Amino acid sequence: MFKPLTLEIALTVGMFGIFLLDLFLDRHKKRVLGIFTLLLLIVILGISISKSVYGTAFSGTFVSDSFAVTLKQLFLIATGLAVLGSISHTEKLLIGREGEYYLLLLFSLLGMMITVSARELLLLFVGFELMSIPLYVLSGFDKGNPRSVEGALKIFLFGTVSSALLLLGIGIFFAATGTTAWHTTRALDELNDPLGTLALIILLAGFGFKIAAFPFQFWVPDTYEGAPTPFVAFLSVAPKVAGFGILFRFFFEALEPLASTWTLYAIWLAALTMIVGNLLALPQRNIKRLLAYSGIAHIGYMLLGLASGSKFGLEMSVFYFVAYLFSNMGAFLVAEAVHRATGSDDLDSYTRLYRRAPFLSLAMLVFLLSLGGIPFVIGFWAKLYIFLAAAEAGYIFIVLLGALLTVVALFYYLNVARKMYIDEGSGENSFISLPFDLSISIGICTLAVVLLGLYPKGIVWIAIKAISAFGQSNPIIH
Amino acid sequence: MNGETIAFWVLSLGLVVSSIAVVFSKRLLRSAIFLALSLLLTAFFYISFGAELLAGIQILLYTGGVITLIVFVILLTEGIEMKKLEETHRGIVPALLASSLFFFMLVYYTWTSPKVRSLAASTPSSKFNVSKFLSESLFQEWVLPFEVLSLLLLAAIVGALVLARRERKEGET
Repeated sequence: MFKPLTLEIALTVGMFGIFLLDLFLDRHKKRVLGIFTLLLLIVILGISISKSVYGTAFSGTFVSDSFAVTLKQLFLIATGLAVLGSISHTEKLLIGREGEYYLLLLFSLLGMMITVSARELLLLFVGFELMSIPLYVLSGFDKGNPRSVEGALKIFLFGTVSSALLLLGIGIFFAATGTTAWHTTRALDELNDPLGTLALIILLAGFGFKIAAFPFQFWVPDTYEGAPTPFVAFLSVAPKVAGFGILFRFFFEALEPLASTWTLYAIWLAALTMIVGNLLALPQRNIKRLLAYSGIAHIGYMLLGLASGSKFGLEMSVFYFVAYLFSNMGAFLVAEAVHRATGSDDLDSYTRLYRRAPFLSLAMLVFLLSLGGIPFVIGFWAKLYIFLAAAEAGYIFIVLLGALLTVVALFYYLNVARKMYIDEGSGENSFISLPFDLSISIGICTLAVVLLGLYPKGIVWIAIKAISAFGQSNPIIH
Repeated sequence: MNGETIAFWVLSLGLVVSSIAVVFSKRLLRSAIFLALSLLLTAFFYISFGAELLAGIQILLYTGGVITLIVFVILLTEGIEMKKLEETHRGIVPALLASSLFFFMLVYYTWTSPKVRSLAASTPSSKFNVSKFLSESLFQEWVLPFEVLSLLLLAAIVGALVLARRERKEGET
């Protein structure tokens, strides 16, 4: 009965192991906690490959299908990269508090894993909160920095309001259908009622807050600017993917009768999010704020997949998740490395970076090209595929808009590249030496972006397998 | 107009007024007391709907527990007890616009819904032994969210500790 919960149970047990270990470690030996966390994540990733984790539990309210498992693997990879990138950061700046840092990251990961497996709104909500609450705390982890506190307060206020909205939406959904669970075999026809539409709008707004779609994106730049950078790399990817995971499952399985309504809302949301993210990124002078706004724009592109309302669109969104995960996390980790060396997040500290750190600037260039969508790194295929899906659904105008905005995006991405390679800078020429953990995590991201760009087929295959979970009467069997 | 309807309107009016008072009070302690009042009135609502258990829980947890804690915090924190809040009115116009838009959306969709009409027409089903039923379903059907909730509380406690604790300076032991 508990087999589908294997990953969650393993994570919980490991988490408490790390919790206990933290109590018995000397203040200056807590570095090992990061290494243990990383090992735990690798072990769970290994378990997730096994076939025996598939299935449903608790009368179908907890489902572990190929979609859930694929997303869980993405979360594990993202958390692993973040932990790897955090080891020297926590050792330097958060001394004595490493235990809480990793524990909260793992709590958040557990919440994501539960929430994408939920086929029942209350479980979904509880998992969602378990994901979100550690994020509020981690954003304010750098308590001495007023910006960090401000950012934490903003994400907290936005987060709680959206949670309240979600609860209201769940209540109305329950009033309309008489249940909070949904099954793939029976469509919820009761939703064809104004009450169903109301639930749809409120839930979409609640989820929109969480994935930071327009007009709920205000907290993003401030929170990213103040929070510890390796954590921002995690925050910018994993919770967003989790939010999309829920959107996909809930809208495609439960709200299927209302598909014609929500694709309409989703396409507007996608278009506005793309426009706002890209245009606001243009004047940014701080690398973290720039990446924050560009991240909002990417959310818009991913929403296109949902808006296309087809399995093809969802598959291409999953592909986009993979591309976004490696490119964006890589870019933030480079920002962390540069910050460590220069003490600033300003774009000017990137001037002539290639002289000081050739590997670092090459990696950053690769990530920027991928985020901008230049052939033949993975980001190019992601954009191409998502546009294909949208075009197939008939949104030619939106595709044109998206392509136009990609050109805008190239301007601000290549501006950073120009600073790194072309601009004449100040006299600072000392070589930047990278911490070991950061060079490995950045190296993994770079390799992934380049290799997957040369061989996108593998990811397409994974995406197709993930989405094959939808639209079957019995989606468990393999 | 029967007694039930009159009670409903009186309660609603009280609830709305006390909720507005929470937001507009310039002293923290008064806000807390009005919050207690609005939570208590919500409990009366539950009684009028025939959900006595829910009303009891509401009074125990919110009016009894949460509000007491809030009042404690206000009284124990130096200097905020009688402090005047200056910024309660800032941005009132956009807030009013947004909330009235939301309000009209809620009213429009519930007003036009046939489902709501049929729900309103149905008689409330009084369940005998509701607490037994509740505890059974809590520990059987809903045991997974319940267990996840305990992890959520643990995460919240750890998080609150992290944020509230005074950091040791380097060199202290």
